[in-house]
Amino acid sequence: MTVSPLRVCIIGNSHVGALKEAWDEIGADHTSVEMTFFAARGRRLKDLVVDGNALRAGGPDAAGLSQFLSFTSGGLEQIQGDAYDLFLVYGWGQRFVNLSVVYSLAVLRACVFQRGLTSLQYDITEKVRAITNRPIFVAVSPLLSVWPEEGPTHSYKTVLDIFRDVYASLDVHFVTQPEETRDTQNRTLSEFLIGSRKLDVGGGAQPHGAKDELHMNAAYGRIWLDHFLASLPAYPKAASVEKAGSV
Amino acid sequence: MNPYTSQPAHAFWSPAVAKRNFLDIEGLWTPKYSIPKSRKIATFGSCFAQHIGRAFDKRGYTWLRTETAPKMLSAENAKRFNYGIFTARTGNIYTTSLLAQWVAWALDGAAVPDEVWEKDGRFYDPFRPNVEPDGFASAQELITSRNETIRAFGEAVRTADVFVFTMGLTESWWHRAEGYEYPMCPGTVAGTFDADQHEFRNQRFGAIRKTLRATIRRMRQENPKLRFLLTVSPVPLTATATDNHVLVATMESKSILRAVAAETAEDRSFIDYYPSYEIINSPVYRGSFFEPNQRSVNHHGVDHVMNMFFNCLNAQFPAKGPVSQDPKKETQRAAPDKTEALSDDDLVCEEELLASFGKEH
Repeated sequence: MTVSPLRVCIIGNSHVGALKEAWDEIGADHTSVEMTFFAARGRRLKDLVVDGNALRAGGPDAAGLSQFLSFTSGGLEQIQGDAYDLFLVYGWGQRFVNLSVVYSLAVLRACVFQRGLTSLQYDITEKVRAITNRPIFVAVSPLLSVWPEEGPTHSYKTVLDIFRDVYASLDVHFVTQPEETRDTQNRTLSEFLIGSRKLDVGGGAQPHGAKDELHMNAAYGRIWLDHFLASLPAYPKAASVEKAGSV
Repeated sequence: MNPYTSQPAHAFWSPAVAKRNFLDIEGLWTPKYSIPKSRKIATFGSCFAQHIGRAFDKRGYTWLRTETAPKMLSAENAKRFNYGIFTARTGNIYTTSLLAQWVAWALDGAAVPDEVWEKDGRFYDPFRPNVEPDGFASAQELITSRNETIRAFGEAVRTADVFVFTMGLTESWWHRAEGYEYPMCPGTVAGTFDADQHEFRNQRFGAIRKTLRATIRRMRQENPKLRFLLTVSPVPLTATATDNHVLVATMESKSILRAVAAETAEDRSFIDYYPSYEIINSPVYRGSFFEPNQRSVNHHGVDHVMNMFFNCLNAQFPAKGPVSQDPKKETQRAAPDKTEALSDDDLVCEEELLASFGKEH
């Protein structure tokens, strides 16, 4: 009996680099999963446009963006809504909101909604939802390793619960950052900064500078993907997709 | 020869007032001390004080804010949660005794009452009943937030160069047994009024003066360089708890506060009084600075008050270098402020809520 692999589409910015590096290392161990990446640095993917049931490059430099899509996906210039079993939208400026507890939950909520609804990540998630009814998973960028905030802050769970509310109308699953990668102060452990490399969009994966506190390394990517893949059966839609694929 | 012959023109009604268009009346204030733009200015008090902080900020002065909204919060939301209204998130401090209460909490570590008002599962701060529009999620959240405001108020006293305080009311509500004061009568915004527990006091001249002097003295012990600028809110009472007609109660209240300000500022070089109350209320201005309800001050009034303030300040202590008379140009140099875009007539005035809790008329 042939088991069809679970087709996962990952759309993101530079933070996807850690996942891609990790997948290159561990992908062979996950033959039941097929991952396709569509990524570009910074906010380049803001020019993705909905075209029927696909996303394609638009904007003033559509040709350049098409090249990024093609390079990172291995030759595809469009994201087809029916070509994947589930989607993961990862990164962009959708940062965790680390707010001191001197601010009320209502203030925190206003901040998260404001940041969430106006983010590129939300915009792209809306576009993905426009091309598919299949499960969409969303993850914010990794927690910073250094925060200027002093004193206790609202908990990771509290903030993520609000992010879930932000995205409620898009019917997505929110993915949390693995616990073993963060400390009690909502920071990513600094060991995951070591050796992080820039997203390869055609010129090779160059190392991030020593001052970079945003981007994580392949070790982080491995842990993140392990958690993500392990969590999929917990989501009914993803589980049903997996089941259907295994017929 | 008599003492009047050497008096300046502004001492005579005819040339200073009667022969002028009221908008051309000038020199109503002779500042005692200069306020360079680098000086840190704290603003607290009644509703009208909100205009003063904003006006300083618009003109590039250093309006001190020791409790600020998260940077990511929009201006609209920041105002909704009462950030950027005063230097710290105290809400309105209507009376000198309320000011004394904040000073005792912030500087002397006086015990803060543990009273919390619960309404429909939300929690309201009796001492800042309107800062969180839908109340706090829990009593603990409320206390954490209040402690931050107390910290921020203390920081304001310790670090400010000028402390602007607008006196608003003589009428006040107290916890009879515990002896602490509420800015709003319990049972209005939230809480439950209990005649046995809650006491009305219409404070008199002597007590207000004594409290204000003692409070200023205490604040200067903490910060010897601190100077004061007193004003009296020109805004009439929304409602009175006395037996008087509200118009009579208003005049009595404001007259007392005005007299306290005069006596407090009179012989002290570090305490000044700015006559915003006179500018709005004098018959010379024919009530033109009020909205049709004859209570709310319109933006023309606010502009006139604040333009007069800066004109007088610059006349007495000319700024070094070119001085723009255009607040918009000054704004460009000012630190960005989320409240800047707010309408001047969009004040946060808890006392106005009283009107909602009176009888239907």
